[in-house]
Amino acid sequence: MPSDRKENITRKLWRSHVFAFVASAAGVAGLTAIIQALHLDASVANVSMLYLLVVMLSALYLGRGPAIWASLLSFLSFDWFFVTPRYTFNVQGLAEWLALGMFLLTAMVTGQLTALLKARAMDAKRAQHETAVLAESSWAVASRLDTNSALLEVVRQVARVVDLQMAVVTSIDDDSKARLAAVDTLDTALSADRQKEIQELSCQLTEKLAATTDPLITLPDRFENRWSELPKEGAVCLQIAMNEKLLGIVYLQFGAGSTILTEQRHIIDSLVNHAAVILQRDNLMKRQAKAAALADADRLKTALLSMVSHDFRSPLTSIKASVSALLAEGEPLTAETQRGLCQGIELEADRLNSMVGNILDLSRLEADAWKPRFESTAVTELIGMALDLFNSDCNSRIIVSLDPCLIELYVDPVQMVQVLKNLVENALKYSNPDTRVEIRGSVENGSAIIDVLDRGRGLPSGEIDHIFEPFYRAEELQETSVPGVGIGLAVCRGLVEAHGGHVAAGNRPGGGAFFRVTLPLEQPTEAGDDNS
Amino acid sequence: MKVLVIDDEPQIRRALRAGLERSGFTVMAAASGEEGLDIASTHPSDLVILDLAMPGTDGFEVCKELRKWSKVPIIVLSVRASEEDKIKALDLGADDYLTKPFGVGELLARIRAVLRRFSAAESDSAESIFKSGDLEVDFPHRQVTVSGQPVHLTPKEYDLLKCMIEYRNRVLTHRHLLTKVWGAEYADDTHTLRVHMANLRNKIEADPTRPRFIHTETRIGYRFRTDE
Repeated sequence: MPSDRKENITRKLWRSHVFAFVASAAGVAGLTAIIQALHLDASVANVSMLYLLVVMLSALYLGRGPAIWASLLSFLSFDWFFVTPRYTFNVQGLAEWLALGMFLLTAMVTGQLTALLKARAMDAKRAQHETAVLAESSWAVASRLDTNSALLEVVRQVARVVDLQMAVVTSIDDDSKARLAAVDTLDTALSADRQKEIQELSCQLTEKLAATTDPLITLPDRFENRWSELPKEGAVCLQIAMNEKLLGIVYLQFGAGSTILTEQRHIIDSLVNHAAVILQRDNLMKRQAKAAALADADRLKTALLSMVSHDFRSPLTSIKASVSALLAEGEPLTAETQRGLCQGIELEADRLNSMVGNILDLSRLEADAWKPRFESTAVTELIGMALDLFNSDCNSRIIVSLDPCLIELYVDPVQMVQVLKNLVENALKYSNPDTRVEIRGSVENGSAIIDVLDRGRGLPSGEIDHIFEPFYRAEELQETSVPGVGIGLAVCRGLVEAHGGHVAAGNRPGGGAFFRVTLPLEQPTEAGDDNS
Repeated sequence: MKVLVIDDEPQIRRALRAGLERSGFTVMAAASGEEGLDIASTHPSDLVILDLAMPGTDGFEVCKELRKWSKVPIIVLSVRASEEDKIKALDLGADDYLTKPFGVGELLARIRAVLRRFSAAESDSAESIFKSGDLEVDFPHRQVTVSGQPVHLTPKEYDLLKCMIEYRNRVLTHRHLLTKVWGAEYADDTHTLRVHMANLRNKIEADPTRPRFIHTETRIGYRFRTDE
């Protein structure tokens, strides 16, 4: 198959050459016929000039070889037809010889000069094109931060220089695994199987290259490196490297029968260097993101440790104290005291359980491992489930008022109940037991709004922006006896944002705080089907 | 009444034994799934309390094995945020579940509900009138009243209510309710169930945000609670 193609290409090339020579010969013959027919040699002083015209045209449109060919033919025709004695190649006298010689020389020189000029003009045009290609490519490198689209743009510039069927750029991950960075199929004629094959080949090769100790030298025989020659299948595989480090490869599948000139190779090499810059930048950005995530995790860990030392220890202390009081020897405790101590233990245990639950929720959220599972849920059902988690004393403090327009929400019921529970718990905790907590549901500007309102001490101004941050607790509340940690609200924010909504908080006129959850009313499109 | 407790935590076995014996149960305890199956096959019990997370033979396997030859009611203990585990255990034949940590009071309520249903099925005696709070259901006449006012229920709503009262205080999975009321071919049509349940709630609950009877067990099903 490749040898067939090669033959085909040679034949095509040969045919175009033959055509050029035939065309220039035909030009000369045509001109001779016209001069003969119109007897121009009688009226025009120097018909040889007309032959020079044909030579120039040949040089301009057919190339150097045909121009020489036309000069020779013109010389012979002129001699045969128009130099006396006519219809012989005999020439009389030195002057005629000289004139003919001069004609041949002039024709040759004119032809070559014209051809040279034409080549120069072509060169200039190509240089201009190449400059434009490189400029656009470097613009893409500089302006497109998205690796895939920047690489695609570079590939598109390659396609402007050569006939490209398909390009595959692979990059190497930190664990030496190849990853498809960009794939562009410019020629739709390429079969899907072939496309897949090329992609797989690229990945295999990239991994093979990454595994070798000296990737810039060793290459499997199937591919060619650095343009040693065009491979049999009309494709090249170029390494993308920077500072002697292999970043990936680019596989270029050229159109059938295309040839790659040295200038084109140079420009493709430059474009590959652009790809190297893009991949290098991608690596650096990834490393930066990883470092930031690590720093985040570290911060969380520190906060968690300080929390365990304070917030976990205080319920544990009271449990330990109560239990040891129950176990202590000496005067027997009254039944009432025993009961009080046991109730205290149960309360503290519940508190610890709730804290552990919140920490687990937060870590699942931070690890992005708790995706909402959306289903249509009645708002009354949501609130009912949340209120169910509080005892009757707490429930008697809670008022619910619902806008009749707010019927159903498309949410994860488990997560939304958790949000409501944390907000209500927070409101109950930071307000006096004789005040009310209100849950108010309404619809505003196409969004569902759920407010949790209390008449507590309100939020310290200037700290409103921070209360949804993990482990935050208002400055003045720290080291006080009010239990809990700034983790419930962080969980709320995480969950609501995962639903495409947002949380807000502030102080109410007349005292107390409000916490507002805003949720989109319409189903998020990416949420998928109701799969409950 | 004999209860078999299968849990690998000695402190939980001790606490459950103390709590259950105070309420008049005889408690047998097993520290592993294997031991639990051993005891269950040699000493008949009236109820099994089974921890799902155990090393070796876990609660799911015990449940599956037990159900091969026994109809003894099983209550499984599971951790929070694991609906899948709960559904799996219920599908394997467990009768109800309890989320850890739990109080003995909750456990006793679950035990009572499971045993009530079990003995009702044994004696095959259908009650004729159910009454709890404002709600009264007269089964022979298919009549439902709330605070003395008759409430009109559609046939499906009535069947749902009847099924839930029959299994009151016990979890009823979506699948169970759908199969019982609509038939096996509708077992996965949770949307229909949700719509009917919302309508039923509106008819028999005074305040749907504070349901007295019909409680939702997210992703699992419903529980009809009464004070008994």
